[in-house]
Parts: sequence; C-alpha cells; structure tokens
Amino acid sequence: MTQTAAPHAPDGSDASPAPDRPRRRLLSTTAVAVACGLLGFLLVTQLRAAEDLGAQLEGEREEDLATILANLSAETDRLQSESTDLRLTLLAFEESAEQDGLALRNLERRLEDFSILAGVVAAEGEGIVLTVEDPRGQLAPEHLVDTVQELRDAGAEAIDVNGVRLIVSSAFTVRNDRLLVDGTPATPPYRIAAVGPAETMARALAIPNGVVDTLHRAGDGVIASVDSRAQLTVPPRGEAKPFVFGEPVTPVGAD
Amino acid sequence: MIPLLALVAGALLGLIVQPTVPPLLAPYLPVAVIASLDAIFGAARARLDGTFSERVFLVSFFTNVVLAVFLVFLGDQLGAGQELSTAVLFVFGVRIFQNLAAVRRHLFRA
Repeated sequence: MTQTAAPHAPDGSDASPAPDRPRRRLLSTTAVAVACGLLGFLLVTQLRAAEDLGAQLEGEREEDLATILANLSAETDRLQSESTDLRLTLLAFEESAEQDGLALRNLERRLEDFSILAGVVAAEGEGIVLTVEDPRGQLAPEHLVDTVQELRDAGAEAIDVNGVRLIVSSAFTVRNDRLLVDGTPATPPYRIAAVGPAETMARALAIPNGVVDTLHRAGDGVIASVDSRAQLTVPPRGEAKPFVFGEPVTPVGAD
Repeated sequence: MIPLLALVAGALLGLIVQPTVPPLLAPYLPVAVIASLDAIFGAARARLDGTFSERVFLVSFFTNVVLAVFLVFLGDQLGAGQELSTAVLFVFGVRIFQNLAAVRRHLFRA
C-alpha cells in the first residue's frame, strides 16, 4: 500500500495523498473514539453486572452452579442434622425436668398427708359431727376414747373434740371431775367433728351396741346425735411438741 | 485526549442507559472487556512508540474481542469453559502488562 517498505504498519500521516488526509484523520479519530466509547460502555456494564448476585448466578456456568448447589445442599444437611441434635437435647432436658417435677409433686403430696396426720394444718372435707349431751357430767374419758377409736376404725382422717385437734400424742384425762382433752378442759355438750368417709363413720357409730348405744346407756340425760356433713373443717393444732426421746430411723422423703 | 473523552462518554452512557446483560452473554462480557483493554493499551504503547496506526488499532480491537469470545464459547462447548476462559484472561493480562511496561519506560524513562 505504501511506497516505502516500512517495518511498522503505516500510521496514515505520511503515505496518503494530501486531499485525503483530513478525511482520513477524521475517520480514524472517529473510529478510535467509537472503540473507546464502546470499551467504556462495556466496562461500566460489566462492573454493574458483577455487583448483582442474581445476575452473577445467571452468568455462572452450569458446572459452577452445580458446585454451588452441592455446597448449599451439604450445608443444609449439616444444619438439619444439627437442628435434630438440638431438638433431641431439648427433649431430654424437658423429660428430666418433668421427672424432677414428678418427684417434687410426690414430695408435696407426702408433706400434705403428713401435715394432716400431724395436725399441723386444718383439714376439710366430708365428715360427721357427733354431738353428745351430758347434763349431769356422767361421761368418763373412756367413753371419748372409745368414740375416737370407733371413728378412726371407720376411716376418720382428722378429728377434733370441742375444737381441740387430736394428734398422735393426744390423751383424754380427768381432773377435778372435769374431762380434759390434751390438758384443755372440755365441757358438755361435747362436739366431736371428724373428717372422713361420712356414711361409713355414721353407720359405724350407729350399729347396735355401738358408740351411740353405749353413750346412751352411760347415764341418764346422755344423748348422742350424729350429723353427716358434705363439707366440714377441722382446725389445726397450734404448735407441735418436739420429739425429745425419739429419733427418726429413715430420713424423711426416702421411699 | 479524544480517546479518553470518548471512554468517559461511553462510561456515562452505560451508567445512564443501565442495560441489563442478557444471561446468555454474561460469561463472555468480562473476556470482551479485557480483550478491548488490551487493544487500548497496545494502541497507547504504539502511540508512544510512534508506530500508531488507527487501522491496526481498530482491527486488533475487534479481532481481539471476537477471537476471545469465540475461544471462550468454544471452551464452553468442549466442557473446558472455565479453564479456557482463565487461559484467555491470562494471556491478555500478560500482554497488558507488557504494554504497560513499555508505556512506563516511555513516560518515566525507567
């Protein structure tokens, strides 16, 4: 294309005839400008495309996507197994907590029973009230003892005589012709309240030659009447006397 | 100067238009960009060497891009897409470095 054998490509400013030069310059400049513009355009587009993750994924090759999918699947599996482990641990903890709760409830129930037995708490429930009139004071402690025995045999759980709750150490005595319940004077009419199976206790008291009959025969004017109640409250004993001579053999709460 | 202005103008146009890359072309765009960058730097070096020819520049610009994209496409079809893409980028990267070194020698005489 050129007269001289140039080692490099012609640069367009020497070899062309003069009238063509400005046109060629314009053409070449325009071409260069277009190429650079294109580069700028592509550059910006690519930079923007690289930021968007969705587009990144779209642009990934199949194999890359397959690798990404495999990684994510493995991660999902790992997380799921971890979740299962944690759930199992939580379950184990809940079970053990429940066991503890059960043990606690058992202890609480035993405490309730023992409290009632010991007379430390008031007891309420169905029961009977035995009222004994003794205008001439002819009853002896034995009569009261027999009555209480009969009631206990019939299933009484808590008994009080004239407001004095009977406990393990209770005793009926006499002093100065007066009946005493645990040292507290009791004056007739005697009111014996017993919480327990009302029907059983009432029947037990009323059998022929039973408590009621015996009381009636104990003296004239002695009248015993039994009254069944659906709801009855027996008061607690104030302070329990501490044991001095006795020691527990098994620890409290052990089965 | 004009090329620089044109570059900036093209970049601005890209920012304004904000085209979305069709997913089909997405893997080839980075390669095309690097290929055209190589042509630009080659032209800069030629200009400083005094051997610049706009014909050479234009031809190399477009053939670079077309060849690079074609190579990567071929690699995808053959199943070695990732590797060929890496190789193409590597080669262009080497050439860019060489051209930049020459430019540096011109500018800083070092």
